[in-house]
Amino acid sequence: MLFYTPSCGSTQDLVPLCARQAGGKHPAALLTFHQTQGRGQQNRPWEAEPGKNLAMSVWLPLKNPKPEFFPLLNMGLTVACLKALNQHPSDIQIKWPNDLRHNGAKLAGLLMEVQGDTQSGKALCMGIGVNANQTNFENLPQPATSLLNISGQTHNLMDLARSILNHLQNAFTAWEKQPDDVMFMQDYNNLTEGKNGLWEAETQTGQIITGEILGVDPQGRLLFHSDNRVQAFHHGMIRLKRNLSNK
Amino acid sequence: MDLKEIQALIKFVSTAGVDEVEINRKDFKLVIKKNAIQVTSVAPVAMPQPIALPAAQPAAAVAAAPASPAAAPAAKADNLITIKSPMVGTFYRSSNPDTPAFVNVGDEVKSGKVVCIIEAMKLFNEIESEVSGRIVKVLVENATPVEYDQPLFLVEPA
Repeated sequence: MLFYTPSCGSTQDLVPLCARQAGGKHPAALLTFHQTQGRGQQNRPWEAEPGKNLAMSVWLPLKNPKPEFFPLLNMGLTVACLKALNQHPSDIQIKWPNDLRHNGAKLAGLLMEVQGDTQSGKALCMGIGVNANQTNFENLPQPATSLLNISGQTHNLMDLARSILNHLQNAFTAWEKQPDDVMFMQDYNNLTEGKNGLWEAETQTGQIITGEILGVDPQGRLLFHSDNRVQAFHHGMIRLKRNLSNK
Repeated sequence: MDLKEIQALIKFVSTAGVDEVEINRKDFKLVIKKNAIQVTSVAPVAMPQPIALPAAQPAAAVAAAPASPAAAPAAKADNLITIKSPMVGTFYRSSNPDTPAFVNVGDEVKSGKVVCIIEAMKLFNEIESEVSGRIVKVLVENATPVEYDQPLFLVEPA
């Protein structure tokens, strides 16, 4: 069931209520075009200009949660979002772990949380923020862009939401049928920005290293080839600073 | 790890521009070399190590969480139940840096209570206690990587 609100604090906070209203056992989604208190990972703020962008949270009940395969689900859903957006411009890529970018500028961000308990049932709560029709991205800590900036066309936000939901539903159904399918990883790796190109990255200790992104492994760790060795980094243990292949 | 996954890794190594990748799992070690493939069974270990060389150093502890794990006194070791990680990821003791830890040493927990979060690729998975009892020891530092099946907490059952 799809819910819409003209404005709200964070769709991620409200979508569990929508899911309960929809019966609790079925997928639900809440979308808004004006999110005032959007949040990213660990409650970092996510800014969106009113009326121009899409903020949506999707509630997907997990019939048989298998945490060891959650990274593959993450990859599948990230690729699904990319494919939905790729119908507009065609060369969007993934920046690990789940930012969608175009020519090095951020176009969309994803956040996923598994909520609920074993007794009442767990669900994946997935937040998506898409820069759709905003054109001004000054004073941001990282380069950003929008579908409008890329394509020169204004996008219908409701149509965009429907397209994303269709792609997510297909990917989620495929994962439920075969949660260990490494095709999710292969698709993800094929769409990773700057794969086999040179990146500058900062490790948790503050060390700046340069190397190649080889892809991610089935656990979602970034495989980074630097100084004649391959290291597997968890998210948070390394920050990709610059794609040195970008001009 | 199934055959399909191994095949995908082989394909990955063959195109990745590296000569060798080593993966250590709970019950086996897989070494893929450009010119030879070797699968070695090893005895299960308590805390499997990550692929190849260790990843980066652990993150700084979240402010609201205690800096280091601590043990509660007077718990009988043979009576304790271990809460293990169901996935590979990063261990967080609180939902965000500004909130208190889900549980601390000495806290009573009921079955189903959230005790921590394991995060992988920005997917945050709440981990519940499977038993009712008292938290005796936190075995992992906040914001550090954990492996599949790695012990996270010791609980003295009620």
